[in-house]
Amino acid sequence: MAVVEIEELTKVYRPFLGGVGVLALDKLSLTIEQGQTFGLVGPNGSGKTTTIKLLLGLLYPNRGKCRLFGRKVFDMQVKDRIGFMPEAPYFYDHLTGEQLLNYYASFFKMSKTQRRERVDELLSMVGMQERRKMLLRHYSRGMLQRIGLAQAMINDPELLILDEPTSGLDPIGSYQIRNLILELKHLHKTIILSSHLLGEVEHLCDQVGLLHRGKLLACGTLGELLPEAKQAHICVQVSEAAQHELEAMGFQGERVDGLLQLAAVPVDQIGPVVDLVRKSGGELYEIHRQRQSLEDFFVQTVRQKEVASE
Amino acid sequence: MRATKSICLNMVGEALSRLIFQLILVFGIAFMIAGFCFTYLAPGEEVKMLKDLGLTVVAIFGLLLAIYLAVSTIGPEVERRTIYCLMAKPVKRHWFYLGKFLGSMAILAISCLIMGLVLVFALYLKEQAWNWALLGAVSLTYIALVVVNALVMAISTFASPMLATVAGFTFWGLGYTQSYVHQLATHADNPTSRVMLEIMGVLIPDLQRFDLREAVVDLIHVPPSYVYLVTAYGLAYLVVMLAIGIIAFNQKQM
Repeated sequence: MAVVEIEELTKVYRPFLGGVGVLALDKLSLTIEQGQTFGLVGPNGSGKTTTIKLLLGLLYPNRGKCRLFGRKVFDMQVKDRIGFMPEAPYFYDHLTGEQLLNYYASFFKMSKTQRRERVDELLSMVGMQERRKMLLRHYSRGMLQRIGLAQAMINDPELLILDEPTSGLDPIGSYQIRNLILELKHLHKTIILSSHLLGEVEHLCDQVGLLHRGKLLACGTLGELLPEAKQAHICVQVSEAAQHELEAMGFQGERVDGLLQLAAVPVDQIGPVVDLVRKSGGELYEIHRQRQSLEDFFVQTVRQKEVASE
Repeated sequence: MRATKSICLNMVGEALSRLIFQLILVFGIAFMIAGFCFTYLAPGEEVKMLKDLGLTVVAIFGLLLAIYLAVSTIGPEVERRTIYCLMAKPVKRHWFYLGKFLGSMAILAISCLIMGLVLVFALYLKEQAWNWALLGAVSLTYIALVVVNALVMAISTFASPMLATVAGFTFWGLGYTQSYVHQLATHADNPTSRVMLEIMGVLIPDLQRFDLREAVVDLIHVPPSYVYLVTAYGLAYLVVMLAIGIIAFNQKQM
């Protein structure tokens, strides 16, 4: 079932007093199925945040339409089923973490007991139980990010929209947030993740959409976008004699800490190499079939587009 | 209604925790207490002076607060992006707007009540009698303040806080000179000028009607029918301002 359906969505920012507008989104069409983790990537100004704002009903499109769960984005029944975490969230700093979650919970049909239980559950989930009575103005960036994720999940949403969830966090903070997202993924939540951190997107997402200057340049699963390489990297522990035999087969290796590293072994030659290692009494440490990284794909695609537009 | 109530209560909590709100209130009360210094006047004059000064302080500090609340309602929510999380929840735009407006009304009511009670108590110390009529005068000032608040809030949905603030003070100033505007319209020779002045007379409420200082100071009886009529007059403007604000906010691109 499609959770997000976007058709020919176009957004132009026009100045208040008229003049030339800025095309932020140009006929964007995409569909996100239930349970998918969709990565929205693109350089600054590519239209990621505009797409999210249109999905949340914060902006009105000039053309095209977007639907969530088959309904218009302004429908209150849709809002009951979604959660949103903005980039670098800022919240009402006169509230404590617990009060903030209670405040956001008050917009949903929950009894006081349900609300209390949900707030407790979320504070534990994001590791903020001990800071629940602390005013938000005293929270660090990482704590705000975690409470931001908690507020996005207050209604146990089916669709989570996360805008740069780990931006500005230290490595441990990023790791914790990534793990939380993975937990949500395992709970079969549909997630839209907008991020500059391509490694993070590659690690967390099943599908990726690459936006550039408001246009969708590429969209698909990581397997579709980043086909596996036809070569592999093999790491073995073999005798000198076996190494010579491998060289005779045409595989030049390099010894690192006693292990022989064979780079660029054609996929159809993996079998014979493994057989030789076994016969010689050697040990196989690693076979890694490399593929292009999302970062390489991103840079390559954006550059191609820029060259074409010049 | 649940969402409107939550937003309203949150706004009240936030405003009460802000230093600027506390300062406006403290300065207002301090000015009233300063009225005690006027002891060189004749006893009757002293009380008149206190009433006049007290009600003027309520109006001026109330105006500052009404404009501050109005410009800090929509703009900062968008700038700080707190509104993004809120709009992702089941909250309709007009519920949000109404919640914020009701929050402003509540804060202004609290402020006017505190300042009014301080004034009544100060006069009790002078006259040894409770003058509750003062609270009636404060109530009408409160309605005028709410009207200004609604106008500035409506303007701040599409204009900068600076522009909305200037508009608020201008509106207040013009509102107090409406009787002159009416006189000018009556005596204007040029038909275009007359029409323009008449339109201005309709668009901007006559805020002097909400000012009962003279009546309170000179102990003139104000019939309840006058109070009801002026209240209805203020509410009519309020409804129009609110409707304009909601329509503008519904169109707002955030």
